[in-house]
Amino acid sequence: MEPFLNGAAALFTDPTGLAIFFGGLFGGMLFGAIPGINMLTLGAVILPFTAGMTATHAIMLYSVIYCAGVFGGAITAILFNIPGSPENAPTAFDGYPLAQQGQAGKAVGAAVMCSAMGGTASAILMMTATPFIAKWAVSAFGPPEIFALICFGLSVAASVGAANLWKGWLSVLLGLLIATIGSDPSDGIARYSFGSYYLLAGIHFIPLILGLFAVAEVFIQGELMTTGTRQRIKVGLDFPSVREFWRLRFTVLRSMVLGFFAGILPGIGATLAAFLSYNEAVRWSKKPEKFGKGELAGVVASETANNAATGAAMIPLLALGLPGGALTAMMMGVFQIHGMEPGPLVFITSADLIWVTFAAMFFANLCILGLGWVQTKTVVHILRVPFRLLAPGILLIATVGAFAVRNLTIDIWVMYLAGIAGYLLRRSGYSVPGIVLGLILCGVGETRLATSMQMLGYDLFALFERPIAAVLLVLAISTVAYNLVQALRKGL
Amino acid sequence: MAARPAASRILGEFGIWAGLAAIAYALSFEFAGEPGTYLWGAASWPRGIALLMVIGAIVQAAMRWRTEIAPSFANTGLAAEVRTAGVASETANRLAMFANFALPLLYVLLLPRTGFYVTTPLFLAAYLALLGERRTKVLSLAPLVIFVLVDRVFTKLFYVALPTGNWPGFYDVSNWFLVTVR
Repeated sequence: MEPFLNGAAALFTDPTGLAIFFGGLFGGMLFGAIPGINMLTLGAVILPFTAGMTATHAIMLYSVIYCAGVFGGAITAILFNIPGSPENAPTAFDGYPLAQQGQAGKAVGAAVMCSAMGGTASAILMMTATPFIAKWAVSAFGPPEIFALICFGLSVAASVGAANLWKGWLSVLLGLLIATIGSDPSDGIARYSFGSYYLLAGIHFIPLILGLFAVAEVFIQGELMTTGTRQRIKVGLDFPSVREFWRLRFTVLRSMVLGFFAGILPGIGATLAAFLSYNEAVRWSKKPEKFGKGELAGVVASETANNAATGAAMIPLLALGLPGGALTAMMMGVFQIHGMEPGPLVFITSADLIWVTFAAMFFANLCILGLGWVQTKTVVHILRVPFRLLAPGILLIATVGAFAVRNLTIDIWVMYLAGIAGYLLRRSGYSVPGIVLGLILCGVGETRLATSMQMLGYDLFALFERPIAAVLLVLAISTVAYNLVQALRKGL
Repeated sequence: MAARPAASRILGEFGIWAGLAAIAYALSFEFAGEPGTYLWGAASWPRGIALLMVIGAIVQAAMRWRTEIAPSFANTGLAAEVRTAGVASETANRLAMFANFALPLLYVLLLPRTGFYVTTPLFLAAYLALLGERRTKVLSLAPLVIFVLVDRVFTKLFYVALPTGNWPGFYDVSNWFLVTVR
């Protein structure tokens, strides 16, 4: 407790440090909320300037940006179906339908509360157990276990938002197939690239989710407007009640654990944490069919997990010098700029830096609660603007957002074509969340399968000889079997 | 009578999925050569997905055939039909829907040629009109406000270099805008 109090005191008595803290907080939220421009853009832009800061200020700044950036995209995901960042995509699955049903305040409120709770719990765990957890998680979870974890996540993906199980599975498979475009992760062999340099790098995730979510939604609402069947959305400002949160306590706890755990594992991070946690919320729900149609538990699961992953992602970085994602890799760069090497020794040689960073992450999550509450009462009013005025703005933001990713017009084409495809698929009862789940889980799944097979002599059954992988795979197979039996019984 | 369109829809949907899987499988031969460090090769994963896709398409078609073509079928399918039922002019709706898709695509087509600064306000006004806005003041002011806001945020705050166009005249107007107005 004493080192934490010292870190907090150091943070609050240093005016420059405080200015950097709030700069990171607002910057992270702003960059996180705007599609195409995310916290990684901010991290990359400010990287050269960190040379002029102290190492403590620089690392603290990145950790605050990480916390705020992961939360920032939730608001636009809920209000306009535009996930500011990939880690907020599952928030849109249920957050946007809730907004459509006049419960935007409730959805934003839940996102705020759960982001703060997930992030704070993760920061506390990070402070108390960094060296121990890092060592265990990194050694226990090799490629076979991560592959099994992805299978476990995929096993429930088909139940989200589709008219029936088969449409759900076809949606997931479409996502998986789209994700194979680009270079093979093992040997870098071009797949479905048709000689195009653009396709060699694969279809970028951001234009695709902008198209599938934002553009498809504008098309659907546009159709309803032109046919005169659109009903005006009611704007609700109610914060979720204590009773509602109590009802979701297990979802919150499960998502915290899952998010924290996923955050520790290199290459998993906040995005996969949110998707896996969402899947688990569906799996454990008594009414899984409600997900994708406006279930508060979906927002809670996604936002708790993605913020819980932020503190956890710091653990392997600080304890082992192992960055798990792009932003933590930038932090590694900051350490190097200042001539430092993260790892077990950093807790002894730079204890001040570590505890100021921990304190900053803790307070950043508390600030999210305050700022988010204000947002719940203010930003939600944007929904009162008639949709025909919002729609062109949404299309324009999405267009510039898609273009800003790589300054390529082809990304805008991808976005609009994905929008048309998303519109048609949704009209036919297929699941956009299912496609996105397939897309996001495919890359990690294939990479880990290839590495696992190389490790295990290309024997698939050897996966079952590893206890953690075996348990996860058995659970995945059981879930698929159970869903199939249920669907056949219902005659779907 | 209802069975025939339902049957063609089922077969059409099956054809799309099976066709997609078949194309993916056929194209996988282009990169299925000598395996590198990974002995199963680059084609194994997409082929596995294509195979599962065919199975999924077959099962879906079979299940739908059972429920929708059977004489006692209760579920006639798409909610979209219900949504558009009772609307006066089907052709007008189809035209509006076509424009709903075509307008953004036309915008993307023109964007690199006529530039962001010229094309965007026109696109915004046209899209507003398509969604039913008829007030002249709104049609002229709303695109301007949206355009200025998005332009300021993305170019001034995030330094995104937006397309200036490459057609003679349009490029000059964009440059004039960038130099003079800003």
